[in-house]
Amino acid sequence: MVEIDIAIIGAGPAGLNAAVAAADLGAGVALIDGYEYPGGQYFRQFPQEFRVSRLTDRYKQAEDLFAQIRRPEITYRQNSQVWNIDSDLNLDFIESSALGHLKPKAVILATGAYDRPAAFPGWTLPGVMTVGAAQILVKAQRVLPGRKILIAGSGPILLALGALLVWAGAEVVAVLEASQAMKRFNPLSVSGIWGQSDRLKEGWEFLRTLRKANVPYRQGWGIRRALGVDAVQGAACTRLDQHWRPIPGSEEQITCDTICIGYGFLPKTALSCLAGAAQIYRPEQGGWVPRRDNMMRTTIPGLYAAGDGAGIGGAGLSAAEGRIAGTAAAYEVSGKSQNGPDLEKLLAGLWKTWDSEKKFQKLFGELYTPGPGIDEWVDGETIICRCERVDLKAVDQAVRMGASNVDAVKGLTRAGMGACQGHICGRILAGQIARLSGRGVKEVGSLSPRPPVQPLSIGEAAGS
Amino acid sequence: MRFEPSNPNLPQVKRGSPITLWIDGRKIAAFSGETIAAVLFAEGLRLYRHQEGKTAVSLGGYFCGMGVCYGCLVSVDGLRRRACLTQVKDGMIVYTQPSGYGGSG
Repeated sequence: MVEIDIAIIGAGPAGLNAAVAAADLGAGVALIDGYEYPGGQYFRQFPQEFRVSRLTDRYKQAEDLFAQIRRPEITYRQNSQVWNIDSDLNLDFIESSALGHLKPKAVILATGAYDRPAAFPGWTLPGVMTVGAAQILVKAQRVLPGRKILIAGSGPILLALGALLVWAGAEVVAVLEASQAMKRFNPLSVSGIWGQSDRLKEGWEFLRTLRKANVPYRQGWGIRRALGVDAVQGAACTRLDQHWRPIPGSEEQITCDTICIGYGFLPKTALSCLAGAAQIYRPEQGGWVPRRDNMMRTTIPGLYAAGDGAGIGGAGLSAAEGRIAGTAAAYEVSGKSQNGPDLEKLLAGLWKTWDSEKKFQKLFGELYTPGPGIDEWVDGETIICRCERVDLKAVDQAVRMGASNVDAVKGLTRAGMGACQGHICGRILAGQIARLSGRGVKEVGSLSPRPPVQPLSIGEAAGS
Repeated sequence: MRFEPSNPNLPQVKRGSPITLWIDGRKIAAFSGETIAAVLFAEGLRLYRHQEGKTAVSLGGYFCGMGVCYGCLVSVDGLRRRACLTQVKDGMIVYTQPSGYGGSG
């Protein structure tokens, strides 16, 4: 039985790399992941029951990493969700209805991210889903999400989904990119682009696929409302100005049965908040993220955070941060100094990669961070909190009653108290409260997480 | 709807062994390894936990696909589970509507 020195939460690119780096230095590692298979979203696998005819490059890359975690130093726990953590690094998890507890010497949060939604009239109709949700159906299950598909959001992932759906034989009615930044973009003039030729090539291939299939790709366009009675039957779309505000008189109707939305990503920071780690506001990284140093240490002793779960930056940055955190944490738990030249030498190469990926992260943020108009697509009847059915009128009433931050509005309306614990509505709520009260999004704060960070049944909580 | 890719960019996949499960009282054929959500899409079922009298807005459905939003909650052998993360098993009993399991949503 390996003694657990370091618990790593999440087995995506950051967590996998952290586990390998820490184990390489002799640390005993528990790699705890909430899904059936490792890999997170980036290395999402087919179910084991499916037989694949050939492996993609990314799949081969993933297989290589999965092989590296099969070693005695690493205890891999699948289907295990961490639902609580404190500043002393006591952590609670649930694994197939059985409760577990760990108190390791160090914890690396590698919790990853999820698609950022936006609220607009009709966004809760069946047929509206995130870009990631559609990718999962097509890539991992070989099921089409619909027949006539509209894609609306921001970022290159829209092109990736568009191309994927074309390959899968679906009709993509249009791809609407809210940002207009790429219209002015000159790749040769931007330092963040160096070393990213693979990414550029990929994006160009996707665009070509869409062009060949006659799929319109419109920049500076967004969805105004989803139309339909019991499910999506169409969409009203508009031109957007450079701040993402709808331009009056530009509305067009598009027939579709499925709408895939994605406005970048949001980091899963709930556990870092629960542990008491100080947060800083970085809109270009997805909003509130834990404050970290260049060894991925948060403000809580022994608590590290790496990858998209600590700030959106992509798979390359996640891998580098995972290795940095795993290396630094292994030094800490073995009692070796983190301030000496030995660790600096080990990290020197990783910091170079980190610097390069950070440049790309910055560029990405400049191109695709949503404008303030994203919070102006709602009307009074629009649902803000899907789980608790709280509409904008209720949020407005709470603000009029004097609730000036997100937790106060949550207390009055129940927004954020439902099953998803604010993952979906949190940023939307902050944007609406800011807009209604005339304050900045940073000022109104964010939902304070409470344990459990996802639902447990009474029976599970009682340990039965 | 299930599809078989004919584009070289998407590897061919052979699904798992055939199984049958019950969805809203109907016997449905599916494949081992599929998620409940995928099977529901294949059967054209997208509206979960509908409440009578609510206009134009359902109470549930597949939204994030990765277990974060809890919009896809269905009843699986009497327990609430996320359809997007739960794989189908032979003989499984699934209800997408609260009337099927006595809940109120």
